[in-house]
Amino acid sequence: MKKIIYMLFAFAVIAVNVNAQQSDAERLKTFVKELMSLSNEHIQHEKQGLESGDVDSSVNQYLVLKTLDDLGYEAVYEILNKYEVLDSEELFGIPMAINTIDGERQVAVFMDEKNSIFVADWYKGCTVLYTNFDIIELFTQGLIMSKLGLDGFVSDIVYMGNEQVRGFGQNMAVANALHKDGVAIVENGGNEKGRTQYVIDADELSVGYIEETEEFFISMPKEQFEIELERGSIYTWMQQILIPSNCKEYFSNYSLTFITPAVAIEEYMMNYLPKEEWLVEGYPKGVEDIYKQKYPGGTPAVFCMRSESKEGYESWIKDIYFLFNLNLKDTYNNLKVVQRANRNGKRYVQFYGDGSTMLTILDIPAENTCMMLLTVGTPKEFEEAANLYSVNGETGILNKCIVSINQDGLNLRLKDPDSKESNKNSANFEFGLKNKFLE
Amino acid sequence: MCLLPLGAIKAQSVPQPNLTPDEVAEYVSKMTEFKNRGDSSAEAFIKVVAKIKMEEVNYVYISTAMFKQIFSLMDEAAEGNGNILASIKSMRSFASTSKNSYKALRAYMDIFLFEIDEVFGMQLQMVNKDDDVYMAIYSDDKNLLVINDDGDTNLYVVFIAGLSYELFMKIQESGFPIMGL
Repeated sequence: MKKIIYMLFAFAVIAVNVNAQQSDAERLKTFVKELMSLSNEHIQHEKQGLESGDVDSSVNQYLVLKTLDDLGYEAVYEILNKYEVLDSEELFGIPMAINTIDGERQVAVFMDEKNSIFVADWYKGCTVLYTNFDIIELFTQGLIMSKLGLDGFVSDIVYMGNEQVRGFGQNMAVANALHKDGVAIVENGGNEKGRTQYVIDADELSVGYIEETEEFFISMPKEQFEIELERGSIYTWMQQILIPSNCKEYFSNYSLTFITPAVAIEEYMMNYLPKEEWLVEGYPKGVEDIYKQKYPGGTPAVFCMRSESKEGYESWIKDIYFLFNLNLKDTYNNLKVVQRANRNGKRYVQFYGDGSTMLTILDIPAENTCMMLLTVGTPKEFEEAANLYSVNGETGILNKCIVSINQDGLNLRLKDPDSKESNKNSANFEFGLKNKFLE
Repeated sequence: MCLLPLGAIKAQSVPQPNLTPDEVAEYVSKMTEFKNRGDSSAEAFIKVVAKIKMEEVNYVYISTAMFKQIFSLMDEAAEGNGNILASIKSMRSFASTSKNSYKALRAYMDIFLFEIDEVFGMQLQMVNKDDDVYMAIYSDDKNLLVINDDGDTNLYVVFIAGLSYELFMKIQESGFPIMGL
């Protein structure tokens, strides 16, 4: 009985495969026929053995199609677009061999032992070639393509392939030279002094958006980033109560930003120092050492979290909706409600209390968006904490800055000695909760 | 409720990709799509970037079959590389051609420029910061990524699927015949 079941299963699998092959073959046939049907004054055709559009594997057949004007281009492009020719890595079961995109044209070549499809799109016109043979294989076997009028395609493909092989060789050569010279090379496993240790995986990557500056950022876990949780109760409360249970999926569901004084100094230095200098030399001197220092004081910090999907929003809001129902002066976990408002279906609530902690939450159900900003500590505390860090033996780095923490985030601005105006060297962490509420 | 290591979250220490909301949505959706198809994080990431058409960024994909055919046309390179080429699945490269395209490409490739030990499951194998050019090689057991950055206009990234770092090292040791060099 088992054997019969296995056999039936095997037949089913074979049948599915045959169907898939037939489907690919049929679709290829339709594609060729559709191209054949475009014979008019806008499109030039050259063909051999494809009078009816039927593909016959026993004879060499080909079709070359070139657009002559905009109308021709639109007609061909419609077909290319329909079959996603320029966007696929496989077409009718035929694997992509080459795809190149530059400012002048895009070329896609698909080849197997039975077929070649070549498409060149230079955005004002295009050329399409279909052959029922492997064009390069026949070339290598000595078939003179010029007899078929296809030598241009062969040389084009060979040239593109050659360029890539050459590029590959150059990369290998450069890497090889670097390896042999051993100059400034860090082999994996070595711990170069001051190297930042990150572990990143796509599942842990978070894409965030700062409304105020219209900037996106990718925030990432930083394993060795340890902080002294002197304000432990607030952090524990925040972790246990406010962060939803499916937060592990925050790659797509949430964006998180956590800023401590060390992060602020690093960001400030990265902005303050000429980028062209540290891009070449590596991290600004001294910045690398910031995270090696054990945090010397309390832990003022800014934390922002935002839902990035409907799933994230729904999962999170059911845990925190009750906070919006508290009245002014109500307290929760030693934080007192100091502001609350509803406007156009949006809800906004702000708490203040223990340890100069400010918590702001914004709910926009219509946009499936929930944002939370938590600042722990005053600007003064933040500045003092940052100033305890040593950068190149120097402390008091943020004495050069104006530090402000408000309900929309943290702002560090360089004090300009000649003017009351701050200059552009600043580190801004703006989250835009208030503006979003008032929109 | 989960206990998330809050200290593990850090923001903005890496220059930020300047992506629009649509670009981020596209990025996330395609990344998920490729990973669901069984691609590693590194492969998925490169495929996502390849799908995103950036103006003035030159992109090239070449399959291993094509690679072999081209090699077979070149007499001096054909011999002795069968085993090496057999493992290579494909090669993709991205090259900026202007300041604008540098910025656009860098928005995605930034993450490989900061000596981060592991990115998308690939380990940092080599880094060089000489001659105003930053170069790094990342790899895992089946992919290799080389990045070159002059910090201004030229950013070049090549991703070779199927070439492990060990195989890459073997190529170095055995001497790889490079056409035209």
